[in-house]
Amino acid sequence: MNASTGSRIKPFYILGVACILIAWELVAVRMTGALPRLRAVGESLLLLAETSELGQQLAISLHRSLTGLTIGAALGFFTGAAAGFCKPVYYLLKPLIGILLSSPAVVVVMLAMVWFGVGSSMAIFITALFTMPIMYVSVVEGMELIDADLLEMAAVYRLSRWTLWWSIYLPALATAILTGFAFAAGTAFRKTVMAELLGSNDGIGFAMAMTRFNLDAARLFAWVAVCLVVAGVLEFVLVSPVARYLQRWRTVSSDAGVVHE
Amino acid sequence: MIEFNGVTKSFGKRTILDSVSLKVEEKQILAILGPSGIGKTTVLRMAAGTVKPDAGQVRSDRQRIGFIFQEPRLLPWRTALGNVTLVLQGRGLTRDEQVGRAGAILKRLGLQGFEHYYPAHLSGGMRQRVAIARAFVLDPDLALLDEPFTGLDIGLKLSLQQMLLELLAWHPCAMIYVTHEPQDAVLLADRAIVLEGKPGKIMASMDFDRPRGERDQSYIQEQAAKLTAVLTAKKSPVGG
Amino acid sequence: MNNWLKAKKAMPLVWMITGTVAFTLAWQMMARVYGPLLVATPAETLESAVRLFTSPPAVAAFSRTLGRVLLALGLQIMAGLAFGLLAGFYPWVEDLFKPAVSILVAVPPVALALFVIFVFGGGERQVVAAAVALGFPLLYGGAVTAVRSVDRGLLEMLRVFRVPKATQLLAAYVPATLYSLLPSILLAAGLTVRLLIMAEVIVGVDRGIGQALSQARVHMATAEIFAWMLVMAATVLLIEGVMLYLVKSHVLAWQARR
Repeated sequence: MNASTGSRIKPFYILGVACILIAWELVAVRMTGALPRLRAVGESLLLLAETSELGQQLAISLHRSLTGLTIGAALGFFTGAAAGFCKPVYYLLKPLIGILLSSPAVVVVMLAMVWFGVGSSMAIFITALFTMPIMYVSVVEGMELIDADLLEMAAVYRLSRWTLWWSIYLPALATAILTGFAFAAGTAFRKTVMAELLGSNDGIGFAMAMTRFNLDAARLFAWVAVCLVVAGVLEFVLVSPVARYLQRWRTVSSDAGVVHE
Repeated sequence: MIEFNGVTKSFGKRTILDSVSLKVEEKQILAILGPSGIGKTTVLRMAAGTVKPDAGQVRSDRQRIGFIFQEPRLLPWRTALGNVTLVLQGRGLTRDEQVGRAGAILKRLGLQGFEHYYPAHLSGGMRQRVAIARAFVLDPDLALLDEPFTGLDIGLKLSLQQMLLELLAWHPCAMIYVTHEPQDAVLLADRAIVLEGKPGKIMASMDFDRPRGERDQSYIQEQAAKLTAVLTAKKSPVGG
Repeated sequence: MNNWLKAKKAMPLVWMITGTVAFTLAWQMMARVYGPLLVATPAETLESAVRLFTSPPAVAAFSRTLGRVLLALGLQIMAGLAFGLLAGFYPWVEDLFKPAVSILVAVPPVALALFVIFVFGGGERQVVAAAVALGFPLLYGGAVTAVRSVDRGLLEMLRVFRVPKATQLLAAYVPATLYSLLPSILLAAGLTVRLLIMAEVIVGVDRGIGQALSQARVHMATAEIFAWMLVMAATVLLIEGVMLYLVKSHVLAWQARR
């Protein structure tokens, strides 16, 4: 691609990080009360770790987002595969998917709070509901990419169903599942946190909402740092390996991972 | 005048040109022939000053350079007129002067009435005419042509060549013309050189003495045959 | 497989209508089973939506939010284009921005909204700023890719003709980038609506759909929440439609006619 995507150490990247930290410190010192000092954020983070609150809340949130992701990805895969194979299903699902993709998650959370009450099932529902369309779209698009020429070739040579599945559908589906899952995973954690923030008694989102009541900015940023680490780990173990794998045979738009809310 | 003195150029480990020396006098037309990938385009880029040689010098006193590429390379979101005025930017002309000059040269190239068409709405030949207009609107003192008629059908090519000849008669300028067709070289050039080998070197050169206006079909055939012989001779030693 | 392909061409409209009808029926059944407090019926929702458009406060809330969305979208496009061009030209600028952009992408949007409250307080400007910041990476990333994929042949042409840098930027880079950015801009429209309403709800700004939603929730007015969802889906479709129309009729006048 380009020079800046190499894996060598990039001085300007480090400078970029330094700029953020320095700007942060400057604002924190100049405008007292607006931002906590980085030191205070670090101390909050340590405190969270020591009191084992970090582990507890993180475990709760991770558990919810994983459960939601599993349900959402499975639903998305099955509906997506059904829609890919059978156009009527695609059109039947179109209004639902359209509404899901255009509704702000906060609104759906409000409804879900009415339906499920406050707590785990609500957060899991929200996570599943918003990861499902990602997987769905990815699978549908993946199936659309299956080459009509290849299928014709298969028909001409009378390939068996088994061969058809094994050599045409499965590779295409595997890629779609991988992409869909990688992007859904990032979304899942963010949605869980949001659902918790609006309506839960535990989890990272709830902990963040509490910092607002206690006006404890340092603690809020400590939690944000935790979220960033989770996102970073996901990126490192899931998203970028998948992107790299895909780049071997087709260009993948890097935008896909950015569309979130 | 533009002069190459022992110019060598490599890209990475591959040496493209090896000690190439050539000279184009004022109002002289030089044709460069040779197989593809030999570095003909690199010569043009060095003449335009966008590529620097690794060794040797390119000396040029040319101020205004017109370039015609193999493809028209027009901005798709600008009209024919807009594409021509583009190169007049930053040359101290008022907007009216720019439009006047661009309109005049488009008219000369038979594009009157098409000034406000976008490239997508013009035919391939018309697009290349816009590209020619763009190169000559500057009153260039050096025109660089990189196989401008390759890929066009024969009738179109002949008519464009005719237009080019008329433009040159109206506004003579130094020119380097890259082509792989011996006929094209004989039709337009005062002198032809042949680039050959890896890395590319000047293997032969030929002058066409008869004035451009007086070259008839038989002269062109005869000289082109000679040039073809020179071109094929380079490959023959191995085959016998 | 052949039949399937044939059917594919004839079916869409029929199936889309069938899909909508089936969706409405399923929705109606859900409403029957769970009662109006949990799920409003389609009829109630529609009625509520009509009421929204005849009640001045709701219309005011809608136009307020729409104005903010358009402002945020415009700022996003400008910022994305400006910074994207810069980073596209200079890889070191891209490296410099990378940490900040990665944070914007990775941070849960709600957390960023909280951040805004903490640092800048609540208010209309803050809401728009949060939406701009959260939507920015999409257009920025698109612009960086777009700048790098500007036709090399055209760039060489600009260089050999010694076209002034400012003209190169305005006549070649900006149109080329904007053009490749169009799909991202369409995506950004829907995204911005969602982000802005999220920010309105979290930051709790006066007058706007966010506040209307919060109130509807307090009053357990399920039909009204449903109605707002419908209105928002329609708004996203409308913005996309208007943008597509403008793009096709004006921006892309230079493309080949069909």
